[in-house]
Amino acid sequence: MVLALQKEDIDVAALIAGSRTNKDGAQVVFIGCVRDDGDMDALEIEAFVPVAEKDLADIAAEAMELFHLNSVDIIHRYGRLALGETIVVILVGAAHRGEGYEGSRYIIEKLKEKVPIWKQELSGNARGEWVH
Amino acid sequence: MPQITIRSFARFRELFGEVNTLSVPEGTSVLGALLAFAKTQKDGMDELFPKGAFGSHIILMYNRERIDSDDAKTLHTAEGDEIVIYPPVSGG
Repeated sequence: MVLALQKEDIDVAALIAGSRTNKDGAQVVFIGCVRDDGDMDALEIEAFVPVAEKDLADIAAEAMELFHLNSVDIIHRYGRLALGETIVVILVGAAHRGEGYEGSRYIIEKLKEKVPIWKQELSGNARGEWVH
Repeated sequence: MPQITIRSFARFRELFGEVNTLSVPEGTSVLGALLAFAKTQKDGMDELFPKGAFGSHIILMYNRERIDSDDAKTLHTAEGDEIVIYPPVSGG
């Protein structure tokens, strides 16, 4: 299980390969990325890292129990990310696709509700709105 | 007087700076400490106590545990305590 906040890009293929076991009938991958909402060319992502790491671990444990998942990996990036870059990857391993999809959805919704991470739009050197 | 730390994130970090220290009288509640802090900051009252009450949208942590504004009235600060304030989150 990988639960991390990091500045570096995420190697999704390595994550999938490292997570898969013979108990998995499905792996569900969610990737959140930087969308161009106009008047911006990047996002600055700020995180309260020690608390966010604990929250990710709590959410992963909840999801595993609620949806009988085999594994959960969550990697969220912070720092300056350009348009199109990956912000977050959630990888869920489950015996069946239904549990996998539900678990993945649960994790991203909880993450957006609770985990202390914020996004600010950037345009060149100018800082714009905080995204809510 | 006990010295406490107030740590701010996102919009509040931009307004107040990331880390501030504040000395408060013995027995001051978390809410009392936040009120004292707000009064030291430009726009502090408007941002943290709009309409005279602590902003319901503001998320609070006391020594790394989430608390609500009712807890903040009853919890008393002590030397070395940390209060964290941040606006609604937007990860993912």
